[in-house]
Amino acid sequence: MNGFCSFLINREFGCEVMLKLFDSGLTQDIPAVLENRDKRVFVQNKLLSQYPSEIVIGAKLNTPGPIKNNSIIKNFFVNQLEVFEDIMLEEGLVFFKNTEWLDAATGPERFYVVEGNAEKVKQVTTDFEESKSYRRLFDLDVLFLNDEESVQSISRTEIGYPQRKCLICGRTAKECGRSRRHSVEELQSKVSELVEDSMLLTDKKKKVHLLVTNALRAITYEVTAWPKPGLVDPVEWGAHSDMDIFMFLDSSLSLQNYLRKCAWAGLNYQTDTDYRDIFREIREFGKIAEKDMFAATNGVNTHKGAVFSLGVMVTAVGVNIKDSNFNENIIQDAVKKMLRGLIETDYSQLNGTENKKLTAGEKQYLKYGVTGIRGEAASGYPAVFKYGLPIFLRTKGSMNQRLITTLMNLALHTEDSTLIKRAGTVDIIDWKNEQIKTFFDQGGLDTDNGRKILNDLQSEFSKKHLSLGGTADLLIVTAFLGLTKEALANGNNN
Amino acid sequence: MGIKETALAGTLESSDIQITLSEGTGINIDLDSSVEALYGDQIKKVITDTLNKYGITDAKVKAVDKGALDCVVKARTMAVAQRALGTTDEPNWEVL
Repeated sequence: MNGFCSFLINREFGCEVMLKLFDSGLTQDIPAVLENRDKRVFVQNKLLSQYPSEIVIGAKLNTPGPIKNNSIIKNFFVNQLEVFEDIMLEEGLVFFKNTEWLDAATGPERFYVVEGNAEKVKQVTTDFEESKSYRRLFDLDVLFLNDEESVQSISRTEIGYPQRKCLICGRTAKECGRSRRHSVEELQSKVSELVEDSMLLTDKKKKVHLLVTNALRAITYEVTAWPKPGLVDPVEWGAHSDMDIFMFLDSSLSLQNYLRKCAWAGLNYQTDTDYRDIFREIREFGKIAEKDMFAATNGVNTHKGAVFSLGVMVTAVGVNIKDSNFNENIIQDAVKKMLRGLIETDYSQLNGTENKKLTAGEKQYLKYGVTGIRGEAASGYPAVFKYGLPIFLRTKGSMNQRLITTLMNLALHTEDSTLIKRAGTVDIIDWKNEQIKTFFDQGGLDTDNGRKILNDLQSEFSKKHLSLGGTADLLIVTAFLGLTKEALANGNNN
Repeated sequence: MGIKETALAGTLESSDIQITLSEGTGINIDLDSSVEALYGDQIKKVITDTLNKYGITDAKVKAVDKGALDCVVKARTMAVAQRALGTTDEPNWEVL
């Protein structure tokens, strides 16, 4: 765990910890800084003699005071330049990184060689420096060889931009710099504040990445696990002859954007945010995600339930890990609060709706009073938290064993509306439970007999055209929670 | 005392000053600075005082200032004086 993570952890306990940006690092004196400057000019000149028709960007930080580098400063520099590179790509610039000294005590620096004209490049670098308060700490010099073949830099004023402003007051930076108007302490405190702002955002982005990665792992792991009665797996999919594993993988990948938005929605939670507003927010994202899914599968419903459940769960975990460690109770509580009133408002509007427009879950609610995935969801996915997740986390063996064991346990504790729909009767639930109990009584996946029972059960589901589609969604959600919890515990949050 | 050879120190980076010393009579400073009106005299004084400490009383000085602080002006003048007197070599970045 690096320096700035430990700083962020401190915030979990509710105390505002001022970033100790300048508490560590080697003190630099003027000769050291000047010597480094000579070296920088040497590198810039060398690059331009090597690439005389290109532009060179010299990137560094303006760090007031004697401490110019440490792990926090370096992380800030590297993370922000990653954004800068994205901006250069978006601006259509062709560039490559050439030289860098990230650990130099005089401060991290990096040089890029860029194709294009100096004005355009200077505009991109200046826009970057001005795009966020903390990016003002960056100093991106733009250099080129002029007609006399000597190295020339281009200034902000030459492209019609105002001069750089002082960090503290509105005067030009040059004026305050020359007159030493502000104390080093004042400048350092301002810089700390700015770097802290950027780190909170960087931390959130890492968490978004973690959530999306594990959501995609979960949704692709589910379809890969074998054998699964009534579901698509790589070997057998008789119960769903209109689909196959490739369609599921296509469908999974189409949800990436949606999952990212859900992660942000969760991580943007504030103490006074109405949870139902978060749900309303992601529900609109979900409508687009369903369209994306149908586009990816040519109109086949592979993941409609998962769009709902996984989206809700990614959001809820986002709410949870925003400021604290992974905690099942907080997650379940967030789900319940997001979905409060969902059954009443959704199902109260059903009477009078034209029958063919209803979903399987909605028809069954009207016919049997079974609330299906909405009921499971609104009560905070009890089957997932009570059975699925603990079993997934404690089951030893291969990932396949963990997934199948979890799936069969979830199936045992779920009123699967897809199963009822295919069977046409709610009595199917009792039959399903008997089969699963036999599977576990015979030792589950650990024994030949157990494996044979599961294979036979898959054949029977296929023959009878039965599905466990609802349970598969719960497996996805469970695997997402389990994988995320394990990734966080391993410190693997990037 | 005069100088042995022409020497240069400093860069044209912002907050720096580039100083060239060559043979001359008396200390003669040609200063180019964006803050000349405000700080020109001060910069010239720092350069002259520093050269005098090295015993240099005769030199032509070309100084291009990019907003250097006094401490930077002093450090760059020391470097250029040492180089002009042949007491230090130019650092070779290729081998550093």
